[in-house]
Amino acid sequence: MNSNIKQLLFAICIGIITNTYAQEETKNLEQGNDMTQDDHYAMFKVGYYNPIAIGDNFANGALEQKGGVEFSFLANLFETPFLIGLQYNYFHSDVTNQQLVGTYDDSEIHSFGPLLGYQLLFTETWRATIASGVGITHYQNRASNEHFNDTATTLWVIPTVSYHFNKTLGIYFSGSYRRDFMNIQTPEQLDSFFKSANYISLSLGLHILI
Amino acid sequence: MKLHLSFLFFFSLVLFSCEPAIKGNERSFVEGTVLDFEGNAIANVSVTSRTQNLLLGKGTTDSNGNFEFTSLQSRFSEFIVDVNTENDNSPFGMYSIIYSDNPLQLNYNLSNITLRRKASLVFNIKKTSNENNTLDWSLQYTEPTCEVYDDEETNESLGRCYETGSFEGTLDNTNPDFESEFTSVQNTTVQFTYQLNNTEPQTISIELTEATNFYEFEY
Repeated sequence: MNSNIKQLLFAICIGIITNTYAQEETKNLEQGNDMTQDDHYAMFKVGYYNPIAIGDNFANGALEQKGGVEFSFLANLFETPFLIGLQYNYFHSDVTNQQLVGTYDDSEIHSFGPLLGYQLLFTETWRATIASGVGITHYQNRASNEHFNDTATTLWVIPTVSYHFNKTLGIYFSGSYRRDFMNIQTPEQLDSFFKSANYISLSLGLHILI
Repeated sequence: MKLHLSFLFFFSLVLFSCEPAIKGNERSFVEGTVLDFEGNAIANVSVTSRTQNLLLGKGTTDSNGNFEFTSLQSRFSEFIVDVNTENDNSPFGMYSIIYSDNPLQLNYNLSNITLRRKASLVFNIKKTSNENNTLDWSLQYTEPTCEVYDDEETNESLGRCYETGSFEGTLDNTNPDFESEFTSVQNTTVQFTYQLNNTEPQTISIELTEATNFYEFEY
């Protein structure tokens, strides 16, 4: 039953993509594949978000990152290649070494913040953007029957490449850098370990232009 | 107005009761060395930090007896470090240090903690006589646990370190024999006191020189 639904959804998606692509093809031939005037107002990204911790810090030394989701919205700033928008992402981490971080089991990590971007390249099919922003992050930690939160200020640098099937729908890939500046108070011995968490994040998902 | 105040009170109560027991954005560091009574390092001893029954951090001693670990901080003023409380089969006794300072510290350096070796006493009393005898007896031994406060001057009376434990009973024709095993501290003495048919009490000292010791008394 489930596989039938999946096959049906897949067929519908392929149908929509090929149909809309066919409608755009004539226009594309006229316009060519070179840089074109962007006639969109904004772009959405919804996708799978997979951060990988790097460096000597608690996120790399004692936590194991699982996948999550991300959502972002970027709007064109007037007629310029500059973009402005918002980003939200979420991922999960399991604690693998309680001796280094304390006795809790896992973390749900939510981040939200504004973005400023720049559109580096756009043709009818390919786009490349780079965005950066500073946001707030909550590490919602769970310890058996207890919950507690650590907070951080997060810096993102997010280069993204997307391929578009038609004027609206495409897929994107992003390999971004993220640094969480933690607000955790520690004694001197633990200061550098808990000061920040660094991640390289890989993302893949749908890119929607409006 | 009364309704508003009641609602505000109820809302505050709900908010307060939902406050997590563990503090966010705070970690502490616990370190020290575990030694035996002769000053030798003890490896693989578990050390934990807790408040009430809430586990906050845990670590294990290395081959030099050193341990260090990160601990969470709770909203309660008490912070307890337990040494060797997680392994009942350990040859060593337990040690707890209770920090009741407020505000809590971020760095807990316990320096040297001495654990004493446990010794068990398998203790039997058997009635061999056919006479109608009554035996009142008691056993006084050193308990293998130590609980100390970080500030001995102010809390000395509250600390319990290798205190004397006791056990007593009465045996007669209806309940003639007794058999049990007591855990105490090695190289200490157990005092066995008995009184047969309300005569003068007699005391026997039992030296606990081995990890497992046996003593049988017949009357």
